[in-house]
Amino acid sequence: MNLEESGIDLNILLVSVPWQNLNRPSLGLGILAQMAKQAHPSVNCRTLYLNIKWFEYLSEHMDLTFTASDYSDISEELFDIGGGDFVFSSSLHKTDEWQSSRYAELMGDRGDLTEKLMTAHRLAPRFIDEAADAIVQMGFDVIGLSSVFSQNVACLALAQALKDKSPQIKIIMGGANCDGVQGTALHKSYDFLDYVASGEGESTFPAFLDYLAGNRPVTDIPGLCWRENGMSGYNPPAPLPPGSELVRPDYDEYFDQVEKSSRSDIIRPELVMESSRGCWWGQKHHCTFCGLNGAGMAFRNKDADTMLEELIDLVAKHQVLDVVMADNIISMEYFRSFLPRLAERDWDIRLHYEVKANLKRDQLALLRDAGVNIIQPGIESVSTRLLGLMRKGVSGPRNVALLRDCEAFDLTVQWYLLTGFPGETSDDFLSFERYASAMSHLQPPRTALRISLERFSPYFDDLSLGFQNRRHASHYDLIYDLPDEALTDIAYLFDTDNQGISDKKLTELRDLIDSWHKHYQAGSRLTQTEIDGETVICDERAGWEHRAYGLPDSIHAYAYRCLDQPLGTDALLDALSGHDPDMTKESVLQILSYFEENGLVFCDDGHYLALATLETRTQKRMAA
Amino acid sequence: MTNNLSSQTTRKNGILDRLGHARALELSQSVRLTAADVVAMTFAQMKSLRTQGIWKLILDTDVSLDGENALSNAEFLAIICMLRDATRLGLRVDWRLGDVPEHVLPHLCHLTPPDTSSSPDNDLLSRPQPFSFGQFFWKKGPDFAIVIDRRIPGKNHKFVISGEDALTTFLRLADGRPHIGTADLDRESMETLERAGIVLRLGTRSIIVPYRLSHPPVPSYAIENI
Repeated sequence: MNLEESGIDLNILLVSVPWQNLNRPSLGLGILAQMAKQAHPSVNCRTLYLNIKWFEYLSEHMDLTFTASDYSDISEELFDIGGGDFVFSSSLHKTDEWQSSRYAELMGDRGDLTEKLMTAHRLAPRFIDEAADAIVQMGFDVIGLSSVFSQNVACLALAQALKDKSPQIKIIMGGANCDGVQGTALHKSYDFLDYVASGEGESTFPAFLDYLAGNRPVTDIPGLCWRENGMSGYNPPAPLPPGSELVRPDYDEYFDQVEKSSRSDIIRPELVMESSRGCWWGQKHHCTFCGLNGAGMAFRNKDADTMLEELIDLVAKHQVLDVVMADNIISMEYFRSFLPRLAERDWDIRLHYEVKANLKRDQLALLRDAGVNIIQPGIESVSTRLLGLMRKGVSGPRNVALLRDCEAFDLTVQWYLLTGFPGETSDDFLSFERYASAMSHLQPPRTALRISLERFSPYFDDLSLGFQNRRHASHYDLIYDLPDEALTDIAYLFDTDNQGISDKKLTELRDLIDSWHKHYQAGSRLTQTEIDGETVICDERAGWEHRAYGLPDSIHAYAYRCLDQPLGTDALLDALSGHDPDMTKESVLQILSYFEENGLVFCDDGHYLALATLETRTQKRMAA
Repeated sequence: MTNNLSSQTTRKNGILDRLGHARALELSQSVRLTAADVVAMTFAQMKSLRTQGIWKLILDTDVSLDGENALSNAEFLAIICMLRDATRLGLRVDWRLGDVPEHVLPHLCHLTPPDTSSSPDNDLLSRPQPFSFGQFFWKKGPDFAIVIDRRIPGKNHKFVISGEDALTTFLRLADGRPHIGTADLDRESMETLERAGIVLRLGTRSIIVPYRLSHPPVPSYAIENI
């Protein structure tokens, strides 16, 4: 970049709009802020966490009844119906009552959250107006807006207000909501957006700064939509940056603004970091329902030294020990490099990582020792057939083995039971229903969900996979005022004909999960212990007779040890024959029948798995 | 196990009573401790009890600072250290609270609670909320430590301890056993920690009151971010 030669000072304001998570700085803006700092001292780049201001504003105007939990409910729980976007539609359309009654109908009965959302909807125009006034007074030349998940309409409303007040300000919008055709559609639909950036920012942002300094033509900025003399242009994206070029984020302004916030008492800052982008599993077998990676599926990770240095620097600088890794899947290389080195540190860090579900015990132990407390393994189901339909590359019993072993290693597992797959039937949930009570000592799914049709997913891209009829989700009609064609391009979620199980069946599954939650929270435990060579089962599961007992004989004990990993009856017979040559298939079935009667195994697709955890855990009791 | 500690099973174990199965006696290992055992015990030994599958400690003495069975300051503080570290490790402790000066009670209310079965009133009367994990703890980071105090419902006090003098003082006091004397401690830091209720000093001995939270129990999100 040649800003020094140009002698031009650039004043850029990056804005994190609602509904960015209050507890987390924006990774995207943190990276851009760092890149701007590295570009040249003549670039004055600041970051404004307008989402924090919005939370303060709602708290003040609702007499502190608007809580951080309300904020995250609107941001996350209502994402599927565009709750956060709807709130700012009143500002975008310059009317406080924009589609209020129809949207309330769409929300259904959600208690006082509906009322709070509608109040926020009425307050949004004034908030955006005041925010735009304040930003204009700051005197920035360029405003950068980041839009992911529920931030689209807040970005648009603010951009419009800024242009109304100060037409000379240049506005650029980027983020995952601008990926591919979404970005060009937004640029075409809203002429107050001077530029829209698609794809990852490592190439685009420095080139954009260079362009602003007059050293590069606009047509030379990868992934940029631009206007000139009424003409709209779009430049193809740059190749994805390799892992070595992923930039560390700069979060100084987030922590500074949290500290100064009137609601700092309830904001609990976490660090958001990334050790990789893309998905190595998706590169080989893209899960049919997943649209998360957009055009950036290629997996790239930072080298372990760089990552460790970044982590140490940011944790030490901000004195925060809760770290969320934004990775879609942890690099398997990290089990040999990054994690062992992190485990050597005598820190009490709390890491959250997304992982592949088929991790072994030693890998789980390493995660725990390295400070990983929460994992998101994409379990989705315990049915091998359904997991095959999803292309998850894991079996139902293998998923249950992960739940069992995470229980022993004190790893919190976040998962949902997914339904609604083309080809799915009620029978695919028989194992789940049959064994849910036997699994009450394992961490239950948060709830059961019907999958959404997401842009960029194989289900979206390939009509032959079952979702032939689709239309942008109905909430977009209430939020935007655009023709169908534009909405179809902007939308991320699509309505389709329901596939798989009925809604009634889905409700039954949710009821079962509610019951599982109650049993788990009651302190259910099922453990196996070796005492003098004998396998002793201690059963303290809610809904089961509490007792401790030894397995009937050594062959039962040996069989149970074999079922530490999922086995079919033939494989189990092979294994037991080595122990007792007189074993027959019938005797194997008798052993399995004993395990079934006592709720000691899970079975799906003919494969059995031992359910008792290997370690006694008492901490769960303490937490309960 | 050290020589002065003995591993044993006990019929008083609550689970065993419920299970009512002879073999379960072997399953549920517990350790009975005297005040002298506790004074001699290190954190590493406690940790090894946990890894050996022992999940319950039984304290053979009332925890008193006044009256006929009053413990010495050294014994009392060693026992509070043991309760603190047992809470951290998820070990249960059967213990009875005796006569303790009122100003000391707030320093105990985040610890695994005393047995109230023989005397229902024998609870920490000043406990502002029921015991749960995560009310008063500390965590270690690179060149800093954070103490979180949520003993009073609705309050969330966060103390960041950094700077060489303060951190050295804190870590010396947190080193498992009661710390003797103050010569090697920074006086100003010590006073601040005492005022914040993070340090309990009796006579010449001092301890850090909150337990260290190295790996939160499942589910991890039951304990709010710090």
